[in-house]
Amino acid sequence: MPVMIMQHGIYPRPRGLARAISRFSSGKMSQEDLERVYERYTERFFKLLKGLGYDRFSDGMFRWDDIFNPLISGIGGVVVDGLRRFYDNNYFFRQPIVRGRISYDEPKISRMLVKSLSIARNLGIEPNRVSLSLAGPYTMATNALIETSDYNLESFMRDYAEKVIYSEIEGSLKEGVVNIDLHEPSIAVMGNAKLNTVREIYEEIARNFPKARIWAIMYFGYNREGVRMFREASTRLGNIGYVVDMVEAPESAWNELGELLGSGGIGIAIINSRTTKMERYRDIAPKMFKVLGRYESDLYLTHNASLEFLPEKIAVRKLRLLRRFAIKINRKVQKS
Amino acid sequence: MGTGSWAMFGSLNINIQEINTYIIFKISFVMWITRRWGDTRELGVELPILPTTVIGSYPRPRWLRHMIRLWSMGRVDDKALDEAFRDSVRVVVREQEEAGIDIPSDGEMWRDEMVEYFAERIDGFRFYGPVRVWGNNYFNKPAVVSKLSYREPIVVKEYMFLRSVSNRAVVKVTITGPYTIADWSFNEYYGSKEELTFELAKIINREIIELEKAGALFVPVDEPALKTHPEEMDWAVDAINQVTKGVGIKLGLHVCYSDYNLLSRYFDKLSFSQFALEFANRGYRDLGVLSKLGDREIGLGVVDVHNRSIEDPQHVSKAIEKAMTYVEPEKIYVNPDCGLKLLPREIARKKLEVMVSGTKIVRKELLSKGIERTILRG
Repeated sequence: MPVMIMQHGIYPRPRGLARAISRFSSGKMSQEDLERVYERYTERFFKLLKGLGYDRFSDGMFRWDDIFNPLISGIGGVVVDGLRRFYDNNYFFRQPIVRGRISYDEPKISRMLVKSLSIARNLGIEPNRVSLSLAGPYTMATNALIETSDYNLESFMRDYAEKVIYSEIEGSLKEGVVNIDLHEPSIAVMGNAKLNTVREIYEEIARNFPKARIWAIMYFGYNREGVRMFREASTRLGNIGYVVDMVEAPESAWNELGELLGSGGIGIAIINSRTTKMERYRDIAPKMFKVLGRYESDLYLTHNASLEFLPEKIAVRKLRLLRRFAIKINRKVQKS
Repeated sequence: MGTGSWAMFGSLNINIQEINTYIIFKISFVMWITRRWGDTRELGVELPILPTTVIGSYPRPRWLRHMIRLWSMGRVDDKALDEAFRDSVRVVVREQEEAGIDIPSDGEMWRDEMVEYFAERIDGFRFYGPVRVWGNNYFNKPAVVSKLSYREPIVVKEYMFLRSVSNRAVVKVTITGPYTIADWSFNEYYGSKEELTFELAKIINREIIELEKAGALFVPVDEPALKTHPEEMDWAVDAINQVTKGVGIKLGLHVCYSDYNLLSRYFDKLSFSQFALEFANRGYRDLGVLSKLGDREIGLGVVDVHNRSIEDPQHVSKAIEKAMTYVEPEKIYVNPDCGLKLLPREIARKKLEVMVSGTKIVRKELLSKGIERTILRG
């Protein structure tokens, strides 16, 4: 089976769109005109990804300010608060403050995705190539400030999954979107204390939605136990996949990776979304070939964090680079 | 736009002799002594108790933004833009002074962004395009592509011009610290971020020495990125301290939106007499760290710069009073959480007015206890 290529998360919001949003915010542009600008950039993004032959991708997430917003503004019991640093990046998000039991009336994000899907369909892109992106339960819980005695970290994770994630998956499946990307940098960078709960929650989601493919996208670090946990879950339930950040992983992790492949699909992140320096095939290929013979499920090559940490020009170069790597690797595998 | 403002600044004409005379005139009014006070020393300039100041940036007037746009389209010449920059500094300094600010800045009118501005003026950087910092806000993140070198003074002309237009005894232009420049840049050249940071520290140190020669009394160093990588703190602190080598004036350190408990472990090791920290944004949750300041001062952030709602003076006075349970009033400066540039100008000004009003409430209480002045300490 050839290796595939995946884009995930937020793509750099183009300056033209940013300017349009500013004009809209200051009352100088109508909602209709802003919508047209969104559509134009979403179309441009889809054309790029389709043209490069990406197997699955987000819709660019141009309406998102960060991985939590606008999602959290639709969650009852949650207040959108001051800016907080997003892990160790010069990048900030508005922090969710949990003040009471949460409620979620409608699947806001999958409804937002409908607009993008109509553009995708016009370009001949099937919805099953487009992913819905949300903050994963652990990442949401560890970045929120829980100020209510109604929850501890674990019970909040469960409630967020059951109320928000379930609702969004239902909404997405109705539109034909099966890939659900749950961004989980917290699993990659934080301790293992809550991993059992995380596993239970992911397995519960996967069992409840057998038609969906639930992906845990881990980046900013490498948590061996976290990867093992997803490997086991993925083997038990074929509809769980996971992205492993091999850019941040120690060299030794490449030796382990072959044993860590589950049956639900894996994304191996070999492109660094936080540097403008271009990766070299000769550095990556030998490591990849250690792994290639050992997998039987879907294997995607991808970038680690969202591409929005890069200037758009470099993001495009890296997407092209990843494609070239995949082509070279597949050719070599075919020959051998 | 960034390159444009830089190019324009190169043509800024200032009568240096006039400014030097002015500085000497100002300083002659104060008793110039150097007295050790713990690790810090008095620089002789008296200030009102709880001096009010800004972190650095202030919203650019709309007409300046318009002029920059016209200039970028080639519709106004360099001279006209230069005049607009200088006029805007005059205006924002006056606004700060009218609001009652004791130590104004030039609002960083010439700077599009704090790292970008320095990177444009240090040889070895290149720019690929903007990246988002939050919401709909971007900066032109630089990339280090060759060995860095000091080209020429970076903000000395800014300081000289500010000095010439302000009637306050102390003014300040901010310097972006080496760690933040390194952390907010892409590194394609140096073997490690540590190596890059130490290289930048040499350059920033040279710039601060140039500012001291030009008569600056207080230079705040902005290091918002400090503590974002806890594992790098030990060498980061060493690198940041390099910028203070051979400097005899007051140096402050501004750090925001991060883990102050971690930072507080390094208060003693950092060679700065003041730490300007953001507290309003976090609802004053970490004020307890002030108990670890030792003989250093706090620049207390009392207005949230990412929220357009205007605090009331009582909010500010309560915050100061709370801080005074940890630190003597002589060691408290009052400032916004961070630079004000992302706020609408009217709101920024109102926030400063509220900040000063709140400070005056506390000053009144202190006056009744005979505490009226503080001394600028380096």
